Amino acid sequence: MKIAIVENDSTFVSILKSKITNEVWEIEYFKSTKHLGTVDIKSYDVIICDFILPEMLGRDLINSIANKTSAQLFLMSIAPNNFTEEDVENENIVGLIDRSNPENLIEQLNYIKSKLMINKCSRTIEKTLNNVKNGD
Amino acid sequence: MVMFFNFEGNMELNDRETLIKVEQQLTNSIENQKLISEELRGFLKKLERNDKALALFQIDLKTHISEAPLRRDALSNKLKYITQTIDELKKISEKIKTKYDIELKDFEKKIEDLEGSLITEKTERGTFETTVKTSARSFKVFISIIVGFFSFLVILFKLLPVIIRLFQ
Repeated sequence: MKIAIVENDSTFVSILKSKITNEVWEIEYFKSTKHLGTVDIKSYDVIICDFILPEMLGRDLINSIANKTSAQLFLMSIAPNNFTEEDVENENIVGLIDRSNPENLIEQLNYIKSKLMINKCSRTIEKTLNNVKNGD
Repeated sequence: MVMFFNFEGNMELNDRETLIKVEQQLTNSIENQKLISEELRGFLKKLERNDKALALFQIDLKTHISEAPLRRDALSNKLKYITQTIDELKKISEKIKTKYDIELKDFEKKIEDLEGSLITEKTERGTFETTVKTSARSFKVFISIIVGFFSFLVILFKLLPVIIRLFQ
């Protein structure tokens, strides 16, 4: 699972690095949206955006990249009071992460891992069904 | 499946029917799996929405709990203030009651005094009026007597020459 974390706080990044021990997860850190813009966002399974970024709000970044990637998009904040009902209803945002609790992030990533497996199964089923209908 | 269709030319009619049935059942089974998969994805979507709502609720709750001591202090202060206010009100009430009673008593006394004064005044005025009336009546009688007496004298003087002439 390929994960992008857009976060300009290097301290948090080092804490997170120490917490995430899953070697299967390929994690990349981006200090800013500009930095994220230099890579192909389609290649990521998960993109986690901090609430406040140097150029814009994480919420706006998620809304702007939602139709450009199939990645699961998360909004993260050190001050979770920033989250609103609007974020809850926003279908582009898969989950809200409390940055003060790194375990919360890991739980969400585990969930996404299962979700991606379900999605993969769904795609296989659809493909098989198409094959059966087409008589392949 | 592919294998079945490759050999279908060599199969008997019954086998072909069986194969068609199997194929149909397989298709039905995969369609069912697709439906289950779609339901599952819908369920996950709801799960995510509820998870976000729950996160928001937990944050609210956390804030609420963390602010609880502040609210408790504020409530405690308010309670203290209210208690003080009630005590002050009690004191004021007692003061007003005492003062009011005193004032009322004074007022009642004043009214009584005034009533007493009025009665005295009335009595005195009544006596005075009676006296004045009596005096006026006596004075009238006296004046009438005087006037009558003088009238008699005038008449007497007028008649005096006639009386003298009669006696001559």
